[in-house]
Amino acid sequence: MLTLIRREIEDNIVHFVVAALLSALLVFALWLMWSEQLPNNDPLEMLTIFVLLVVLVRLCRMGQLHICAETSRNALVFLCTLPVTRTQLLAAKVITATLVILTFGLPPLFALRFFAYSQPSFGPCLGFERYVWDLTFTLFLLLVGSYCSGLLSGFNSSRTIRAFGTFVLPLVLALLVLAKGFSLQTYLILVLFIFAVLLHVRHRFAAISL
Amino acid sequence: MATGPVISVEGLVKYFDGRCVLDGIDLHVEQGCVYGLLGRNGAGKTTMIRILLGQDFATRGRTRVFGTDSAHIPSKVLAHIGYVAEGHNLIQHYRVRRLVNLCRKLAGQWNDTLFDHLAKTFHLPMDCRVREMSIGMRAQLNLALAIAVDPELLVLDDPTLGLDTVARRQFLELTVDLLQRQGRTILFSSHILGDVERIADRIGILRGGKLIVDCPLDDLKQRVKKLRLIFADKPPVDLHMTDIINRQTQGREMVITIANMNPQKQAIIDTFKPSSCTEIPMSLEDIFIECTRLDGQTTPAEIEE
Repeated sequence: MLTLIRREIEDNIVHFVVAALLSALLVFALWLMWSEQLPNNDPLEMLTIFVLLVVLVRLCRMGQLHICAETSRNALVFLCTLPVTRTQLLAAKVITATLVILTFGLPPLFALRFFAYSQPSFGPCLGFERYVWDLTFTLFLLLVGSYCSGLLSGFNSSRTIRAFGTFVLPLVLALLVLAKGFSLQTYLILVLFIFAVLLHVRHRFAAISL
Repeated sequence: MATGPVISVEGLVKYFDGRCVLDGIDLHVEQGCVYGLLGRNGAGKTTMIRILLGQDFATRGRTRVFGTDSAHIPSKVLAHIGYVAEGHNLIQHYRVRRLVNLCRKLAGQWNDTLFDHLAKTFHLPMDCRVREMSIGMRAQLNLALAIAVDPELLVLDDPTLGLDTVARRQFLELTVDLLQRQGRTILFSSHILGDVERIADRIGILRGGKLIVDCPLDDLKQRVKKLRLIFADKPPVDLHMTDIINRQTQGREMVITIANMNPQKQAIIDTFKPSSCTEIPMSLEDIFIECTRLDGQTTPAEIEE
């Protein structure tokens, strides 16, 4: 399994690099916000939203590539002749996507806490901690959900539908979070969505005729 | 590994877009057997192999490898199978070295000495990308990867496709070398019948989705006979005999190919009192051509043990 994960990481190195760069951009934006070097934070907030949307779309695209590129390039045919099961292959892809999400998400979250607590006027409070956890959890589920929607649309042979799915599905998930906010209901919907999609994708992936 | 046949196929049926590709195949390959699977293009050889290895799924019927259902072969069973797929589906954008390392790490067992020997024999360029290699080189790499896992079952789907004469000979020698290790089973599909004749000890011929021949090679040569009959007058219109694969008449001469030849059939022929009856020697290629003639020409019978 570790070999498969390593293979996926090497194959998806571009996604890791892009995630790290976007993460660095967000950390920089957070530093600018907290150090109050700009007269107004609106451009930075816009930048943060833009970066988040880019990451959502890229993750969706990554999910699609994990399904359609592997099957169309016949790599899956070869891998299935080796002593690995299709479930293991899919699991390695999902784990790699999770690592990409963590590469993108963890540095800004640590930076947020660091900048907040390094402010002399800012004392630790339960509300802030709760906010950070809600943000972390929601963002994580949203990004995983976006990747899963990519996996789902990756089975579609039409390029147009896949391209449409790349933009629409992550947007629908983002709008759901925007509408519902950080609530238990949102978490539940996202967790159920991810669980259902992974189950469905596993079933379809195992049943592809190579 | 479970005891019993290494490969077991029962009532295998496969439809593609409403077209029957495999129609009730029954096949058992015992341990240590070299099974040559023959058939014309589109006869269903590759489909059958893919179903056997869990890459495709049967419409009906059951296929088992080492006693395990083909649709759910666990990785520990896959570790005992070497497979060279038609078209040599390798990971095209990888360098050879990376591909070899991946296979080495994923394989349950890996014979480094054997692989190095093969790489040297085939002059495999380890730093080259797979997609930059010629078809022949890809075939050699695929073969080397399949053999390096020291497989108990080696499945070769048209493995010599794209190989030059020297490489083909090297491949056959390798296969023979592998055979010398006890208990190795090989399922071998090829269009080069000379290769099959050299190494196979049992033959299966697929035609129109049916396995019309499934018997040892020597048996096949014994059972399928081509006879030249010369009659004093016009040859009879009907010989009142089953299992006639092919029949050509010209003047007083009749050439017939008969499956499952036996003394009874010889006695029936003798009742027509031919002035001469001579046997025309047949190679595997001749038998194959007779058995796989297109519909409308003649109907081949099923030849089984």
